[in-house]
Amino acid sequence: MSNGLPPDIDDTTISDSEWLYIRVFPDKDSLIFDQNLKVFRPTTSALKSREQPLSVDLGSLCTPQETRDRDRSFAFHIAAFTAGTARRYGCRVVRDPIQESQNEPENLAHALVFGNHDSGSGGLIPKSQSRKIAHESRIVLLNENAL
Amino acid sequence: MIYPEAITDAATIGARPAIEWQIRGHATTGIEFYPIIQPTWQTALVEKISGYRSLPQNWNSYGSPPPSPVAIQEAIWFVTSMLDEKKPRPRVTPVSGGGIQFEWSFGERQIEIEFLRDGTIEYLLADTKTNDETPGRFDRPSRIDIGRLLSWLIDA
Repeated sequence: MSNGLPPDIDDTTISDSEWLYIRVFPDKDSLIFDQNLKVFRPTTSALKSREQPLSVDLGSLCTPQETRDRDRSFAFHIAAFTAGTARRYGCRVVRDPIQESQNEPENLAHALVFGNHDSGSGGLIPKSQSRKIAHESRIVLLNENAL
Repeated sequence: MIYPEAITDAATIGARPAIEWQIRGHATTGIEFYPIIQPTWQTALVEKISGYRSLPQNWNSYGSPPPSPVAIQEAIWFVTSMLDEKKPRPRVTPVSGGGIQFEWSFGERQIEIEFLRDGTIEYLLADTKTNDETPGRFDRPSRIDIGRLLSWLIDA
């Protein structure tokens, strides 16, 4: 790709069972309590990314706490979904390790979830893929102060 | 408290927030008027959405701009003009890219209305039982339009 992103070819070395972690803005309305599973999940807005592929961390290379602590500007929740879930809804998962620089600290667990390739944006299809993935996501690290 | 700009916004766009006026006597000036804000979920949402003005760049830690002024204005207009206390309260959150999302879930049905950065309003009706999804776009929804959407949500 010419936009500085890695090629959006699904990385099969990332197994379907790999957990992908993402920070969720701490707001009461960002979470929904699943009465059947007795867990919180994020609302679809947490997984929307129109212009860019979705940034996530690979669960085999870091913990939810490490994902949370990469940015301390807010006390974020951490949501998780599997690479298999993303693939089931047409997404591709690609490794994108970040090397330490003046602008960013190192994050070797960083990966990207590419969505609607027809649009050329790399972003998820906001009204479909994001919703379906959000429904299968779980909050694995809860900021109780935001409830 | 409600922020002053919340009232300004509602007045600017011609909406009617839940404001009543109380008349009190005053020793030197005679009579003064004090606004009384009714504590409804609508006024709480207007306050919440107005607060998005103070979100910083990169609020979501993934580089997103905060909700745009036009998205905030449209969302406040929607709350004050399209919704009332008898309708279900939506979940309201900022969205990556400078927008604001309203979301209702009821049983297996879900409605999303998103106010995009440029002021465009898009929606999605989704039924997880049938896997049906109906996307669409509003130029400027009427109360009848919104009433139909919310009826679809509740009348499953």
